[in-house]
Amino acid sequence: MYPTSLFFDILLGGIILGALYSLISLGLNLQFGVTKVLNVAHGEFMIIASYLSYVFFTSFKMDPFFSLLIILPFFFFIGFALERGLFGRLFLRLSVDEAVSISLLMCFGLMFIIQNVLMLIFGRTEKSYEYFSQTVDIAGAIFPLNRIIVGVAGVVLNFAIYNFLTFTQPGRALRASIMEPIGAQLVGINISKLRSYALGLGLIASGLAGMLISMFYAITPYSGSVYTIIALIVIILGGFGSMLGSILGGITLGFVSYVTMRFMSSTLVLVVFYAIFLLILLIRPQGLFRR
Amino acid sequence: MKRLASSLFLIMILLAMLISPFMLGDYLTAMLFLIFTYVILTVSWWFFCSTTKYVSLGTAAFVGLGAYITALFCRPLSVPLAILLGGCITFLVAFAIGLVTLRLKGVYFTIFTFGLSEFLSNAILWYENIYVGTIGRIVPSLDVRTLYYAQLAFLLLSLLFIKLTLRTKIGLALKAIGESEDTAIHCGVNHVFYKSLGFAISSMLMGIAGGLLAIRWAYIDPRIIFNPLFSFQPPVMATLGGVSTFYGPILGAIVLSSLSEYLSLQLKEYYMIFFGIIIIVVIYLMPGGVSQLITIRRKGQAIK
Repeated sequence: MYPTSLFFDILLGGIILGALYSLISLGLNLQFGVTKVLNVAHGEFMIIASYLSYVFFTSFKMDPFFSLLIILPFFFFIGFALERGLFGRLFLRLSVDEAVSISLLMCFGLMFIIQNVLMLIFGRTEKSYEYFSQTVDIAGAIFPLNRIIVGVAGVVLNFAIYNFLTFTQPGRALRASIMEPIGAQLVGINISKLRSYALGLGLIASGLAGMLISMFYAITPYSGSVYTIIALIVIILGGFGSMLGSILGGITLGFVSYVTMRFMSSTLVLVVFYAIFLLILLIRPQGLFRR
Repeated sequence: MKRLASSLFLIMILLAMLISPFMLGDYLTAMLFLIFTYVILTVSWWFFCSTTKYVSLGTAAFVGLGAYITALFCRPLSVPLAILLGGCITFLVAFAIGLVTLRLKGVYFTIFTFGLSEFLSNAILWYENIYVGTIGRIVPSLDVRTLYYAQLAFLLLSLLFIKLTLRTKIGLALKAIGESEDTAIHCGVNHVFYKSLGFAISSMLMGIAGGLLAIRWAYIDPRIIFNPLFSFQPPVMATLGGVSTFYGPILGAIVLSSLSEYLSLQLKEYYMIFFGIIIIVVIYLMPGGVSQLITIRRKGQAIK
């Protein structure tokens, strides 16, 4: 392999995985930042979206991007309902510390339910579908076309979400309530309303990521929790509450994981992530990219 | 009088536990073994996490580590020595992890421990793939009754150990950290050391329980012993039982592990759905756990 094609191989592979990781962790970071619910079922929600786009594609021949029209409103509604029905009331009744650990346990409950309902419906076997699986040659680096689509879509979506959070009024309100919950309330932001939007938006991000993943990975009911762990490590890397940190951290980990998979072994990826995690905790616990 | 009654009650339970393997069949004995395991895991989780309010989700990692070390060393050493060695190594590993991660606020610790078992299982899988060639390991097994008594002895010892440790300087330091960490630091409590020590003690008990589990199962591989369920069950069981008392976690572990054993028998692999629903509903209705309800009722009677 020529050095230039190797360069493009690593560049593209890293960006594709990285865009995906940042998308997942943006959602989780937003959810945790605003609501203080550490949603460990985040990866499981993502896998629901993967299964939905799989079903729409195989049974109705529906394009995965088109199926987003159904998945995203549905996911937003789930997030909204979860906050209204479950978490919101917990945070009203209990002190913050208690509510954080109890909502964490509830998310475990959700995780078990989702995993095993998916098991019940789809079984243990891996599911995947063929979507633009022909290969393309980009300066000597050979990729299936669907990965390129995922990479482009991932970058665009990250950009869109980041701009939404930085430049629009609702986005500013969300970030304000992450940084200064009390101050945000003082300037007239309705936090309890915002919490449900934050959970819904976080789920929209996981729905997008799940749809993208179903295009090029085979999925099983249990493949979600690894993505939760990755998202959490990305958040630590970028800093809690920092959206730009999540994006940069996701890209960094994307490159690390692609290089590890490409040149070493895919079972080693999590081991390397943990080494990075420990290193960050030792050197810069507030996150690499946090101001 | 009341004290006498409760100690009589305890002695009765102890006697029942001593003779039960002769009265019950092998299946029920094995089930009791599993329940004991969960009681140990839950109480040792409670010992560190409820006193300091640092939520750990890494129980599976230490259970798995203890089990794996037992499997590695039970042939060169004898079985009890291998289990103890597993306990010692988990103690050291947990102490080192504590020194690194417990300097930070609680969320970092929770997140770190959440992925720890996945990390260890991947590391061991990778190691065995490259350097050993086979993945699982066969462990010399003992019969159920012997294991039952071993686990019973370990259960009683660890309960006693935890109860006594909570009264020593270590327990006081941990409680002070849980009440208000900043105040504890100002009073001169070496918080990183005591947190790491408490975490290491609780992990050591988990590691020994894991070693006993490995002997019980007779075969282990990273996918089985690093089962994430071991991480999730102890906090759920402790919360259901109520974390404010010593008996709460024990009660929660007994009730929930027998319930999940029963459900898994009735509903095969789909019992986890019901388990999830139970967790959400029960925690939502009583976040303080069952034992809190009992104490509230007692207080109510006292007022009358």
